[in-house]
Amino acid sequence: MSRRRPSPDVAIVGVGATAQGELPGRGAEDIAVEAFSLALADAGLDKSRVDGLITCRSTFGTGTDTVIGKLLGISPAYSATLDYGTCNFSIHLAAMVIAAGLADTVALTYGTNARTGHADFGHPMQDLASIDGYLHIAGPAAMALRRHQFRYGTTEEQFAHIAVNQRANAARNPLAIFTAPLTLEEHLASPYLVEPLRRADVTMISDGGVALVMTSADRAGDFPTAPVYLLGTAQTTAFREFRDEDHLLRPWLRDVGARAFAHAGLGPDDVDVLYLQDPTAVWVLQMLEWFGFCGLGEGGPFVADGNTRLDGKIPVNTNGGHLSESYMWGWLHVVELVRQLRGEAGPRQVPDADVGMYGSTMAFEKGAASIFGRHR
Amino acid sequence: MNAQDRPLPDLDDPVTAPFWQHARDGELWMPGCAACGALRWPASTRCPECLGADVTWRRVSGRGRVWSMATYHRAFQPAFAGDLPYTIAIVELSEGPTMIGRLVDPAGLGPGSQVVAVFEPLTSQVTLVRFAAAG
Repeated sequence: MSRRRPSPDVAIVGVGATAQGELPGRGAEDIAVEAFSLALADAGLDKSRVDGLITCRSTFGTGTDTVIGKLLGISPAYSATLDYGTCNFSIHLAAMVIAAGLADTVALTYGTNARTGHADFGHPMQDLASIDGYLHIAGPAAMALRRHQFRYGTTEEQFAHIAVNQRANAARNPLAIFTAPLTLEEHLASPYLVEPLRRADVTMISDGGVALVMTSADRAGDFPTAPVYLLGTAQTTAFREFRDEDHLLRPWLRDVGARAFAHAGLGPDDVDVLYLQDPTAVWVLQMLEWFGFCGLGEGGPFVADGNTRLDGKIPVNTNGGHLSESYMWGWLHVVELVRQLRGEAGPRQVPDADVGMYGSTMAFEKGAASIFGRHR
Repeated sequence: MNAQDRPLPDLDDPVTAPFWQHARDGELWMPGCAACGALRWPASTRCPECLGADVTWRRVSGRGRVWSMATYHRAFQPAFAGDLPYTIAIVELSEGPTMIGRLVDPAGLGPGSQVVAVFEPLTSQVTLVRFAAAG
């Protein structure tokens, strides 16, 4: 597009995260309500001032705005439920709601009891192939890595650094579930789950809840927390059938990164902390390349050389990500991004983190990116 | 393999029924658009190219090229535990559409390999379409 898009002009002013892991006996909605309370406390906000509510439908179909709103005891002017299981889509909707004047102070919630509820993530990947065992996101992700190996010579050892790095970050994160040290050798010696992916390359399933509070950039100064401004956004879909032998690499992600950067007036070199949603480590490899943090096909050597470590050129998933922190559909990636930009990340703090980026995808259907900064 | 425990297709679904009928005869057929001719897979009620609603099923060669493959070492449903390890591939058929299915004898196969559809009966009514190295 030729015309420069207006700035989103919104900020995150509150974050809340419940305990993660196993929360037996608790429903997804109860967990979401707890997260809402924590985010409001962080923002120093009374619930009566929340005039927008955006909930994320949970694993078992629960968590709709009509139910969560009742549990919260609020009647906001605006409410909606998003089905799309990544936090980017919720954040972008909140920005639209605020820009349209439908609400000023929007709470975003997500809660799940997928682990203790024994959610079945071995669901079919495609109708006819599923009857012959094509199940779980690890299947297409493994195919995507195999294709990357074929195309660019990426080795299993190079790729293994993603999971090992995120485990090292999780060890510095009190919220994280998987904190036991994982060496490269241990990881490479572990059995395949879906070859060439091993267990630590694929997300856990966890219970937990996360909530955010967003408001207009003009009002952000009214809150006690340091605002984290949304500077650029982009989304894309990839619904139409691809007849491209490299479609497993999801080349449409290049456009998501380019448009988000153009929107923010920034580039990869400006990003201090990077969050890439990781139901499998393959998605990290892909987004590093398509967003321009390294060259196409160079993701393997890039991670093996330590560039994405906490002390590297561009720290990635400093929280441990889905692989080691918790499986919260990206919501905790955003909490960590906010904490880093506020300087509240403790032993994981990246010095002078000023700009953060969050990229997420819905498998082979959708992609999105957000760029945040400490300054408008 | 114990077919009783495995998920089975709905053979009465009119959108896919011809696929299974032809598979039982050892042939690979796909829905094509009666208006614009485009083949589509997975099967759907309308053509995603021109949105035409009329279908003409066409026999295809079953020959294709592997884009990539993955080998399952974990059964995400108990019915597949006895099959481990098994390999699933995405195959671009020479007629254009891609299909996903098991690779029979995957040793030595990889991205770029030429394969051909093979037909393996699962029950008296269901024949699976899989792929094997092209001769």
